[in-house]
Amino acid sequence: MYQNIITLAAYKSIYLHSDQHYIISLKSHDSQKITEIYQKFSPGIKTYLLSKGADIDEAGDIFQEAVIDLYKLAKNDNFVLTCPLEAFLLLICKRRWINVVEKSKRRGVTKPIDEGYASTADDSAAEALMATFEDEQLVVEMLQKISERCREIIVASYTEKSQQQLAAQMGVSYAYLRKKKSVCMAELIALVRNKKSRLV
Amino acid sequence: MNNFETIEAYVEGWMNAAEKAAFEQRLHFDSELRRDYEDWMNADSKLKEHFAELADVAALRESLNPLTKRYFNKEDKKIRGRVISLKKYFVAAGAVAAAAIIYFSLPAGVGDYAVPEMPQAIVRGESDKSHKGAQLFNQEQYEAALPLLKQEAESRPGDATAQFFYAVCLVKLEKYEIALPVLDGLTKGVSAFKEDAAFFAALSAFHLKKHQQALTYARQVGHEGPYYEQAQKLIRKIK
Repeated sequence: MYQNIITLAAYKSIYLHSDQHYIISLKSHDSQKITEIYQKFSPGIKTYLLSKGADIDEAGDIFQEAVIDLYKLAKNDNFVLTCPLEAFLLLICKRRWINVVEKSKRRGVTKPIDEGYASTADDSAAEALMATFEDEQLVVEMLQKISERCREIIVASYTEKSQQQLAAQMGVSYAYLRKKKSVCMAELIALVRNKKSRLV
Repeated sequence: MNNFETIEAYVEGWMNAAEKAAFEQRLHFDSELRRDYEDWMNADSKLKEHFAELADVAALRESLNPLTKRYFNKEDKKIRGRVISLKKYFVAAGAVAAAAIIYFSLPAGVGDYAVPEMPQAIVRGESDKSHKGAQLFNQEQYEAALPLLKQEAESRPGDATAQFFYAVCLVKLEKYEIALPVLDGLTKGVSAFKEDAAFFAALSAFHLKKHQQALTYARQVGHEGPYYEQAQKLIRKIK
């Protein structure tokens, strides 16, 4: 166990980028540092997104969601920033913009957004992290598409403490709720599978 | 029980030891059950993460909204198409002969490039001097902007935006020798200005008669970038 801790500490000391302090600050909702992230990094990324065809609102949304992605990563103690924060944010924003373009199939964009974009060693790591976020986004998006009753059951089952209490609240028996939850999960999973198959 | 009811019973711990063992056994040879189980576990973990973070993310979003509004406001336009026409050089020269000299000293059309607008947001909250530098740059008062942008670039060596606009200012003032190393650094970095810097580096190298170097930089400008056409013109001119 100690060996693992030392290994992780050694890893962090070797690869940790000096911008890691932003990650730590994000975790604690440090408003001064969050403002600094906008102040220092939004102009360059905004320029990049606008040059790729995003409008100013889209650029703002993408940057904000990228900061939220970063916050989610920051909550994971094992996350280590190994490149400048600007480069990492740019990767997330680029990926998000590609998704927007692909979703709307707009502007006849046929050339990849990252054509001519120099890849960095961290591209693959960021891509993997983004894939995890997108997976979560897809499940949550499909949750909005299932029947209202099912959505209610699933949301309640992940936010309420006791399923017995939940059944009472909903005016159904516990046995019914148990049966219904698996039906609702099956409905959700079918939608996720369907969406994924269309994305491939 | 269908697959999903069985999976729920397993993950919720409603099975006895024998049922649990039988389920685990089935997972090895029943590929449909395994697929249902994996998809259930994936959806379950994503929902857990989502709902666990929901309140935190909502609070963060609340605090980010005003910042997003401030730094991405409607007044920020696309890269401004402020084209510097060669005509103004011709007028300044005041004679056909002088115009011809200028024309032949520049690669055809590469003098007509859009100057990016320097985001003033970058210096918000910083010193008045650096704010003034961005203002002067955007007003095309490059001589006046240069010392302020230089100071900004020197005090923030890791800030790609500061480096880029300092270098563009140098290019506008034809100080190619000084601009080139700054731009070269940006082309080797990972900032959002990488490709735009490659165009200005190509232009600088061209004016310094370092044609091979200019070609290398020009080829780094991607199709999607605002300077792609200009970079292609430069390549054609050198060849």
